Order: sequence, then C-alpha cells, then structure tokens
Amino acid sequence: MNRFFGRTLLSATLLTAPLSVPAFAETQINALFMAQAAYSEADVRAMTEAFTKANPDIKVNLEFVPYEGLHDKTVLAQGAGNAYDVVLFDVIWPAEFAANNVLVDISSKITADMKSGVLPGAWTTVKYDSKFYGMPWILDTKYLYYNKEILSKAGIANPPKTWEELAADAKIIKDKGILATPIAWSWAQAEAAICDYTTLVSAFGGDFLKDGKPAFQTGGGLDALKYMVDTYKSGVTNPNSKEFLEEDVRKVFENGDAAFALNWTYMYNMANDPKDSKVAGKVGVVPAPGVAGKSEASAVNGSMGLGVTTASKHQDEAWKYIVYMTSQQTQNAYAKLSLPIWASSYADPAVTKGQEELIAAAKVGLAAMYPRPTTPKYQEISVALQQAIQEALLGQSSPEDALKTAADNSGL
Amino acid sequence: MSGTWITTRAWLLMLPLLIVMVAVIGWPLADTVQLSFTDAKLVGTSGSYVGFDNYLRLVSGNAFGRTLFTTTFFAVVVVTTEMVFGVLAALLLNQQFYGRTLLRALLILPWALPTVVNATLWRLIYNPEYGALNAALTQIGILDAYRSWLGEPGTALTALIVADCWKNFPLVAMIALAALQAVPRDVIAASYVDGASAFSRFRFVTLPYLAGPLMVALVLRTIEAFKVFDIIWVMTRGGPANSTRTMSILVYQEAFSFQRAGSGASHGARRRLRHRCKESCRERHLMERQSPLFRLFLHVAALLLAAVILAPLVWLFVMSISPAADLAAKPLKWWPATMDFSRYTVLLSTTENSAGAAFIASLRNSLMVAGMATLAAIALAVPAGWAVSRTPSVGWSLSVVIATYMLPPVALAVPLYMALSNFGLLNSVFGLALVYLTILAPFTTWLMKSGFDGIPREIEQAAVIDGASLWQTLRIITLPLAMPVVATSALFAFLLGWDEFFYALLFTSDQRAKTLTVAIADLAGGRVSDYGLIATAGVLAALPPVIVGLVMQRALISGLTSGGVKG
Repeated sequence: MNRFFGRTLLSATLLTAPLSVPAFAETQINALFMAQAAYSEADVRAMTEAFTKANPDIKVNLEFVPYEGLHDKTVLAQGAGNAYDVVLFDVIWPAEFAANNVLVDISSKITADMKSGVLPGAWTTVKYDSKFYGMPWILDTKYLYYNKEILSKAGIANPPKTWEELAADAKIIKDKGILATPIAWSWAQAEAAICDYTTLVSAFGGDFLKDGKPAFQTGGGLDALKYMVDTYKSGVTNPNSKEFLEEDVRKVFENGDAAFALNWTYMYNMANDPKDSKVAGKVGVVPAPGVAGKSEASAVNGSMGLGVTTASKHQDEAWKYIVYMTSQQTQNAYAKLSLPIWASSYADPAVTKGQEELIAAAKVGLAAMYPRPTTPKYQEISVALQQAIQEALLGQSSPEDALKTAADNSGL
Repeated sequence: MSGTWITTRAWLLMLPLLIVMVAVIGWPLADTVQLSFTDAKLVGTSGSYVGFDNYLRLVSGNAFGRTLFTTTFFAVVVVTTEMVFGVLAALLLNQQFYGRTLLRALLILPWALPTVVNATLWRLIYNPEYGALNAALTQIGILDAYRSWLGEPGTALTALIVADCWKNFPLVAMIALAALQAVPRDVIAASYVDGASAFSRFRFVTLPYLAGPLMVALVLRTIEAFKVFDIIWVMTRGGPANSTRTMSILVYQEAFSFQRAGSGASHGARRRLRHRCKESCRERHLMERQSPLFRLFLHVAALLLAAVILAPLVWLFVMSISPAADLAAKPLKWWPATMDFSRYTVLLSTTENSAGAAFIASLRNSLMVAGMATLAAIALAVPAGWAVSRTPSVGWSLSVVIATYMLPPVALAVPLYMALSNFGLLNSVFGLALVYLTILAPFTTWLMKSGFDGIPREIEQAAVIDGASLWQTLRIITLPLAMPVVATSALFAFLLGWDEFFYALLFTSDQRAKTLTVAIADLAGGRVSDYGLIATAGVLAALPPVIVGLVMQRALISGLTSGGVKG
C-alpha cells in the first residue's frame, strides 16, 4: 500500500513498453504495476531485465498505472480477454478478487521454504479463506514516530511501550507547554483512518469479524475507538487529525509541531532529509505500542502482493516471474526502498546498514501486522467505520453507538 | 420548400452526430445491459474508483435522506452562485474598460486548471496548520487562531462550494459573454432611446438573448454538480462525519422541461424587441457614452474580478517555486526567500526517459486528444445545431443525445474498453478522442443551437431570396454571425476534454496516449506527494488552454456584424 514518491520517481526511467516482435518462439507475459510504489519504475524495470536475462525464453511487458487505476484496470482487462498475466494488488482486494475469480489460487505452489522463510504478517497480504492468491511483495505498516528533541526536553527517557504511556507522555509534553497538541494521526474520513484504527484494534486485542459477523463494536474494537476519542477530547491529540491524511501528518511532524505521529515506513527517510524537514536527525521510530496485558506492539498490514490472473494463458511463466521478483536475493538488493518479506533478511548487515533504527522497529512491527477485515464487502465496512470514527470524534455520538451503527450498516 | 423536405434535411444534418453517438455510446450501452445479466459482478467491481459503489449503497442505506439533502444543497448553491457570478462577470466584461482583453483571457484560468489540481490547491489553502486562508485571516486580524475549515461539519461544505464555484463560474461567464456578443446593438440602443432603466434593460433586452445559452450552462453545471465527485474526494472524501457526502442523481428530465419553458418565454420577448429596434438604429452610439462614476465603478469591479481569479492562482505559482519548508512556516511566508524553479526543470526536461519527457508527452497527448475531439465536435455540432434550431420537430433527438451525459462513465467503461480493444484503439490518442467526442458533441450541439436561435431567421431568408444556396447562406451569413458561439463552444469542448480523467486513466497505458490528467495523477497519486510538484504541473497544465483562449479572443468578440440585417 505504500506509495513512495519524490526524487525517486522523478529520476525514474519512464520507458514505453517494448514493442519488438519476438524473433524466435518465446512466451510473452504482461505485468501490471503501480507508477509510484515503494520500488520505483526504474527499479522494477531493472529487476525485470535481470529476470529476462536469466530466462531468455520469457519476455515481460511492463505497464505502470497510478494506484487509482490499478484495481479497475485489472478487472477491465480481465473482462476484455486481453488480460495481464501478473498483477500487483492491494492487501484489501484478495477477498473480492477471489470471490470474482480474478486471481489464481496458488496455494499448491507455495514451497515449504517460502512458508517458513516469509514473515507471518506478510502472508496475510495474499491470504483469503486460508488460500494463497499470490506472493507478498511490498511490505508496509505504520510505526510510531517520535521527536527525540521534544521527548528529552520533556524529560522522557524512552519512547512509550504502551498506548497508555503514549497518552501520559503526551500529557507531560502538553502540560510543560512544549506543544499544545503533541500527537498527530491521519483520521480524515478516509482509508487512512481505518489504518490507524486497525493498529489500535490489534493493540487492544480486538476482532473485526467473528464467524463472518461484525465484532468490532465490542471488546478491543470499542476500546480502540474509545482511546481515540479520549486523546482527542483531552487535547493531547492534534484536533486537526480529523482532517489529516498521511501527508498532513508528515508535514506536521517534519515541522516539529508533533511529538508523536503514526505513519508508514516512507516517513522515516523523508523526515530525516534536512532539505525539506526541520526535524532531520531527531527522528525516532519504534513499533506502534501495545496494551498492558494484551499486546507488546501493534501494526496494520499495508502491504501489496503479486498475483497471477485466471485469464492468463501463461500461468507457469507468470508464477516464475513472481517468484523471481519476490525472491530474497532480489528484495535484499533493493532493501533501501522497501523492506524484504524474508525474515532472515533482517539479520543481514547488507540490508540493515544505515537504517538500523527502522529495521529494529520493522522486525517487531512487521511480525505483528494485523489485517483489515478480509471480506468481499470490505469497502462497505471501511466506509461505515470511517463514518463511526468521525462521528465519535466530533461528539455526534458515543463510541458505543457509533460502532453499533457501523456494524448494522456494514452489510454483513 | 415542402415541410417534409425541411424535416428530412434536418435529419440529414443531424445524421453525423447521431451516427457517432449510436456507434460509440449506444452500442456499448446495449452491451452493458446485456453484460449486466451475464456477469454483473464484473461490471460492479469495475466501479469502485468513482465511488459508484458508495452511491449504490447509499440509495439502499439509511443515510439516503441526508445525502440527498447534502447533494441538493451543494448543487443548488453551487449552480446559483455560479450563474449569478458568471452573468455579472459577463456583463462586466461586455463593457468598455482598460484591460478588458486581458481580463477576458484571465477568466479562462480557473477553468483551465484540471479538477485534481484545483482540489489540491484549495485543500492546501484551507489547511488547518499551514494554510494560506488561516494565515491571511489571522494576519489581517479577522481570526484570532487558526481554524479547521474542512474538519468541522459547519464549514466543510461551504469551503467546498467556494472551491467549486471558483473553478466553474468562468464557464457560465464565457457562455454568457458569447451570448451577449450576439445581442444586436440596435436593440440596446433602442432601449436607451426608450429611456429604459439599467435593470429593465437587462431584464427585458439582454436576458432574453442570454436565456437559451444560459440554460445550456445551467443544465450542464446542474448535472455536473449532482455528479460531483473529484473535488470532494480530494478535499474531504465526504467527511467530516459525512457532512459533505453527495451522490449523483439523474435529474435531467426536470432540467429539460425547465429548458423548454425558459426558451419559450424568451422567444416572445425577443420578437417584440426586434420590432422596436428597427425604428432607432441610428442612436446606437448613445450607449457608448459612460458617465465618469460608472467608469470608476467598472474599473473597480474589474479589479475585484481579477483579484478573485488571480489570488488562488498566484498562490499556486508561489507554491510551485517555494521550498517545502517555506510553505509550512508560521507565520506563513508569502514569498519564498529563494525562488526554486527546479520543479519546472524537472517537468520540462527533454532528457529521454525522464519524468519531464513523460510530462511533455502527456501535454502533447492532451492537446491532440482535446484538439481532435473539439474539431470533430464542432464539425458535428454546427450542422446539427442549425438543424435543431430551424426545425424544432427534430429537437427531441438532441435531448436524447444530451441525456447520455447523465450516464456515469463507469456504466460504459467495460463495453467501451472491449470495443476499443477489438479495434486496436486502446492506448491510442485517436481512440480516446473518439470517446471524448461523444462527451463533447451533445453539449456543443446544444450550445450551437442556442446560438443559432439568437440569429434571426429573416437574415437567412433574405439571403435565400437573393438566390443564395443553403450552403452559401450558412457560410456567408449565419456562421460569421455565430462565430462567438462557435468559439465559445470550441473553448468549452476543449476544456471539457482537457479535464477528463476517468476514461483516460482506463484507456491509456503509456506515453503514447497518457493524457495530462493521468500524468498528474501519477505525480499526485497515493499517500506521498510533493504538493509543489502538483502546483507546478497545474501551472503548466493551465498554459495551453489559456493560449487557446487568447487565440480565440478575436473570434469571441468578432460577431458584432449587425450591419447584415436588411432593415
């Protein structure tokens, strides 16, 4: 789900897809990628080139679209019969794609090495109904960022380990007059709010669904929303969070106007870039905290996977390509852009060098990744929850009532 | 000439338009209906991008009433505001004052900004932490502290309405201005002689000429306001707590019946006036004398209009040359310490395979697609518009054609994709231009029809009596008189094509056909975006339409050939 943008894309090579007619019998597969993924377009082309060098009988046509076009193009091409063989998909789509028979169930092709080698959290990206619909490729989750300078000014020695500590630390910073509203979140009525909420749900040990029915209106799901509303009402949360998306959070954090912020991997390197950021060198990152007695850390799965389409006439070649693209060797070589899906990579000095702090947080965070509800009706639940969160924040209804209404409106 | 021949001739003139519409829209539409029976899921799932799923869910959900109210409120306020401001701006721009040509060119600017850029621009202006609106209001002293404009249910919808009106009132103004050009000066002179007040002059002389073209603008904007999606998606996504959630509802039938009533009323008034004007043409220069006070008023109003148009745009330009840190400064820096033109270098770089090359390619593609579709739309619209204007009995077919504009693109996307794929027109500027033609042609035809309505039939009849053929009459008499409308229609069509995003996103895949709006989505997409770069893309994207607009300036004001009337 993470979409890196910035200098990487600008310097990217934007080649048009090769059109040359194959000179000898070779298989041609078409792959659909995203224009602004963690891996830049140039990197995907370089990876693909290395693949075709090793497999000269397979030719790969690459197409890049913005995130907005990824879902629709996949479905449209499927209907028109000139499908892509390999598609990049977001973590929230496998249920829908499985229900509509867009992606091939590749469970039988997952080797034992893959099963044990890939981080368990990463697998939730491609799994639906205990079947595998592809390989995870881009790993991402939300981390807790903190401003080291502000924390030391407030006399806080260590970043919080629990959400309670976080709220207490923020209170100290607020009371000492260092910052009026120390925590920044992305709680706009958008998918971003669901990602923050999911992080909290995983911390409080909640469930979105139980036996296919909504379960977020009680237990951990309710505690999560109550926590959001409490920090909003007590003023330790920046009240503008209710209209922030991730980029607004980054701006506030980079400007030194937030002591704590929940955001994706991408913010680490950007907030440490002195060109645009006022907090470069003061950026701390840890896994999102847990809840005493319930969890050590929390994380939302914001990853993307590569899958084979059912309309593909070259499913074996397509799978071969996916295996190469998601291999540990390929991922380690590009680890500065997107962290590998392979558990052992995090002990490899070549991968960790220069981003030790992020890697340390990732080790814990990625292993704890919690999925958003996996159901073909995901969009409906998401919209209903977004509304519930906003209504509770604005005081239009209590967290209990808001979530109950969301459960009723979720279509399940 | 017999009545049947006139009707047949009208149908023949309509034929090219109808063929294109049936071939490109009608057939896929039939296919969609069929497809929806065979594989409904496929069609349904393809709709998630435009939030169509949301609309369907809303109709069945219990939020329906509130959303209907929000949508109606948004549409009514937006359209009313745009009509009032648009007509006032047109009246102003129809007067004599210094800098009029420049101001007319500026008028195109807000409209030329792609919607996604406009929405991003206003989202940044309203930003609760670093926004220009908060900075300006606190620095002037109106506000004590920064406010959350888009985060509070009380202000979010109003903030959206302002942003939408700012972008779209120029459309109404351009159409009204073209119609004003068509008002014979004799008629206005006559009203001066008769001692009519300024208001009654507007009410009884000018307004009847405006009614037809304004109705086109009204219907178009009403449909668009009800269909509104992009701007809300970018700015609030329906939040906070659904206070800005709208839905697209098909209201064209009401709009059409209203249209007929409106044009009927204006016909009668016009006929009465034409009668009066014949006696007093000599007095036309009367109106060209302006009192000093009125001249002062005109210039103040012109400055105000220029400020309204330019303020957000200047800010867009400032953002495009400011380092990111400057834009997050408190108090806000209104001008960067060091101007940073690097984003322009990035986007305009001609280095092969660079982001600049991709952007320039998309500029070229957009020019080609919008240009070709516009030329074709005008070629279809002139004969068809004339036919409908002179032979009202074929008018219903135009209504049907215009009704296709109500169709959500998502309903046609699947069969169109398959058809384009079959003909090898996917990822082709020609294929995209053909699809755009079906969006542009209906409204340009209607606009041309209203334009022709304003040209007295008597002139054409006089030419025919003088022995001119139909073709000669049209070419020598009618078209020159209709030039302002042709120019407005062309500009209108060009900008509509320039701003299209949905089809372009689905039907193009690389530099050979990707249009500007898709390229901007490439830059802006996802969670991470450099707002300065979007601002730069917006500035560059606005340039070609402005140049087109400037070139068309002559055409827009050239239609004042009232001497053609044999009176």
